[in-house]
Amino acid sequence: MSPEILAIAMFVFLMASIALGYPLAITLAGVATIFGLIDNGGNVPALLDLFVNNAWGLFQNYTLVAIPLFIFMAQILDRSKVSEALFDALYIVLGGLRGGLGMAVIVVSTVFAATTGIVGASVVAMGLMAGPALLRRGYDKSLSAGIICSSGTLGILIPPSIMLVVYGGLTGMKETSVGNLFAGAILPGLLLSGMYLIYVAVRCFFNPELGPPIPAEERTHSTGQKIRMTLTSFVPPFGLILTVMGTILAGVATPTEAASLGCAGAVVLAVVSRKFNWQVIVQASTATLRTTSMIMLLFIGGKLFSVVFLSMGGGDAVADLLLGMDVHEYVVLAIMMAVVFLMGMFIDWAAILLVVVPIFTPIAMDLDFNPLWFAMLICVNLQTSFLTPPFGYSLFYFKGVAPPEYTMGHIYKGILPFVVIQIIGLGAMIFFPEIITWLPGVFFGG
Amino acid sequence: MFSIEKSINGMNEKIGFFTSFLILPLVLVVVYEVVMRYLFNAPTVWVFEATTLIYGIHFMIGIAYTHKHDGHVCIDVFESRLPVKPRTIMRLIVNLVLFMPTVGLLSIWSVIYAADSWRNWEHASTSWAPPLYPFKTLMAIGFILLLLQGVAKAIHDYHSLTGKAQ
Amino acid sequence: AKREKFGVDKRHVEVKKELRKIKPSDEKFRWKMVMPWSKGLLFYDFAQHFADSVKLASGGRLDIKVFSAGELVGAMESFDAVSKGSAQVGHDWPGYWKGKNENFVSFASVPFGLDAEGYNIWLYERGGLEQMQELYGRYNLMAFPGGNGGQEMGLFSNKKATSLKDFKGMRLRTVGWFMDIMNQAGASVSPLPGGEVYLALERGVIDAAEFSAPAINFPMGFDDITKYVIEPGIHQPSVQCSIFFNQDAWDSLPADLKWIVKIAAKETQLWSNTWIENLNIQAINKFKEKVEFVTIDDESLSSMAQTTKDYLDGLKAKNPDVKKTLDSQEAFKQDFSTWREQRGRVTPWPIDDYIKGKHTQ
Ligand code: NA
Ligand code: NA
Repeated sequence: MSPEILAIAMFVFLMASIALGYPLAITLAGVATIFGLIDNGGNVPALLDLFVNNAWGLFQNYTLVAIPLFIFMAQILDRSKVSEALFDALYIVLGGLRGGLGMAVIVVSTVFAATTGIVGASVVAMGLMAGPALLRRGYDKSLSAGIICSSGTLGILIPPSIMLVVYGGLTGMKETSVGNLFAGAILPGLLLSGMYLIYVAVRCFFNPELGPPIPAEERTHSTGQKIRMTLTSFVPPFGLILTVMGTILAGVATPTEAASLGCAGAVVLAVVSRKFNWQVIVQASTATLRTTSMIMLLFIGGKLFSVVFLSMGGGDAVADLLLGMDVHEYVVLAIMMAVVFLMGMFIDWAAILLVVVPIFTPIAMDLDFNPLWFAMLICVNLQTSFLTPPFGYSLFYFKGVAPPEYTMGHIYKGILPFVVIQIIGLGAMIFFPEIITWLPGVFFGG
Repeated sequence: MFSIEKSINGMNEKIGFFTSFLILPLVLVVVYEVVMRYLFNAPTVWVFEATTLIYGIHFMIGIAYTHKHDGHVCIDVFESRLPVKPRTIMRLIVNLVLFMPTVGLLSIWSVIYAADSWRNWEHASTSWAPPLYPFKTLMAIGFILLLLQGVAKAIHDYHSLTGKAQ
Repeated sequence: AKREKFGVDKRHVEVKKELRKIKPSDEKFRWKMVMPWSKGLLFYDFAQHFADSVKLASGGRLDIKVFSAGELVGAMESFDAVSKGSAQVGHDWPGYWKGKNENFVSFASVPFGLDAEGYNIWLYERGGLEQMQELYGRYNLMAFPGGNGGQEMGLFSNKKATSLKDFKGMRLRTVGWFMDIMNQAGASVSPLPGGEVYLALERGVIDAAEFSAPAINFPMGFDDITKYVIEPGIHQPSVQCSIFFNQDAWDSLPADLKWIVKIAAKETQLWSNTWIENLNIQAINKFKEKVEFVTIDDESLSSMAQTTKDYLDGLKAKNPDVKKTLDSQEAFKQDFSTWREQRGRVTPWPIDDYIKGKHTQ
């Protein structure tokens, strides 16, 4: 069998296996084992050495240390009721509007995204907190699943972000240094967040059943109270943003270290709000372990899958196809974006970055694209990959913590409009590059 | 067989519980590094590696614990529509056909990997140069615990099919 | 006394014997090559160049597919992967395997050690290659020199440091033996991973960092965020890479392909150095537009060399392999010193500079 056909067969077989409903990480590893053995002629030791080798690579990956740290921070933050206070305040301020609670979730998630570097933490936190709340208020399950998954995904785009750190390390170019990427991602993140807000406001305005406002008799707070609640609830998270982003920008800490300082900051907030005790430590620690191990086993499974896929020549098939054409540069860009989008449906972002950035960056340079602009388009696209079925990791994280009333069906249905929004946002960034390039210019002079 | 299932569950619960507290030294060690470097101008040579090693043990040992709590995500779109019995049968089959061989092979080879490291008395290629064999051993233990948890789940599913589940 | 011809090409003696062994075959090999390099690094091109040479010379019979770091195995796992046979070929900077045996660093770069010319002579003519193959051989590997990137740049720095006392308390990024040496010299050294260096330097987490040769440093943009470059690159007078094969895979190759590999490896060693030094010329001129180059004074260089010597003596006492290899390199430097001295004052400066009296390197 030719490598290309084997690679396609591998995908088809994976799809079928996934339908069995077994843990995804194990399915990925299992399919990788089967096809790895087909590809290398049944050489078990060679394949397994490769696998164990890769697992060990993940065991000592400094960049990924930020994962448990950001999760632990989110867990403590969650138990310190900081996000809840923010959520409650916005609930009262926005609750009277149609879809107001949903909009509150988006605002909280956006603020939260600026404190965490990964998707898992934001989606898990919002799933735990806002999932039941939206359900209680009679929100449409699909819409609320879509809101939480999509806005929770902003965590990996709005800095700090592990994805941007990995990207910066991968290219080794000054245009795409981590600092530039962080600056470049702020406006795209806010743009998408704004688009979610508009979408929810418009949908619920015309169809209040989707997101009913708080009944008039419950709206008892005065304007003064509302302003005070909002201001006080915003102080702690902004303190945390200053701790995390501030220490990075002030040169005190690297992003991983900033994550750790963020944990310390979250603990301080919990102590101040008198919510810190042994029970909180136990719960936060065990929950952190479960989420970290879940994400890391996915990393292992995904890694084994992509190793076998690349080793079969699947990556080359993509490059050969693109380089063989002679068309307008925007067509090539569109194809590259489509490839990333399609891969994002199946493979995790880190694997895509590893495969795509080295293949696409030279092509982008040939076409005279701005490297930072191109990088950010890929990153927005990869943020979208957390949402696109069948493997939207964000969707799984949500399913893992949401009340059982949310089925995978609700989640898949709810996420589709947000995927469309992502595509529109991506289009806006393609035709108005300033959305990406303006802020880095202000911070770093280009 | 009940007792096997019970002791595996009990073991992974305990191990996972204690492992989860590794997050605390992880935070402390990184904060310590920032403080030492920024306030005392004395960065350490060991924190970078120590953090990755603590993190490695943390998630690796926690994988089995997470499996015990059904914490590994799955796509249950189709599966969740089946009645309980065929679902259990399917889960048992996938466990035996996919999980056991894959995790079994990973366990065996990670043991070999660790044994090689012991044999070569392997240390990291850094200034601090910590020994790597204990950590490679812990990685192997992580896979073995996961395999055992799979065994416990197979026993559980088998019993629930034969109507003897507790 | 009668004088005989002053040298023998040892290979020539083997040619007839080898030719009897060689039975050209149509057998095709599709092999995988792993390395610690991402695609943006010029070291990746060393590996790719070698694979291309082998493919061209063998008419495609030995097809080595190149995988960048992380595609098949993580950067630091390529040694084990080839040793175990998960991939058949690897490319590296041997110093990465310091944890397996400290002596790997001797074949990579030694502070105040061999330059590119020195490595070439020592490896090919002074038994260095045999020592290297013996060391790799312990791990089921067959190794060859696989590219030399010349001298690395010194430290990109936001603090001007030209004497030893300036380095006291400075926060540096470097790795390997030089890290210990600079610590002993009073600096505070962190072994930051390559991907973290830019941000750490930009934000002042560290004061100074070395990374690699000028052409390799250029895309990183360190000159945008620092004021000085502190030369020379005493930590790595040259950066020597190697190519290594899984021993079983190597043994399975027919004799003609083995020769193709050996010749291609040597061609890569030559090409890499000329290619990168030419790029360095361009890169260093661009750096000069942005940052001030300063030089460590002679007294401090001597003192750092002394610290290095003491440190290496300590290593030699602990590791007999290190002692054997470093002593052999030092003996070569000693032997070379007479000729180096005698030929020393003909230096290829531009003729007008030479006329004005610039005679020493
Ligand atoms: Na973020
Ligand atoms: Na996806």
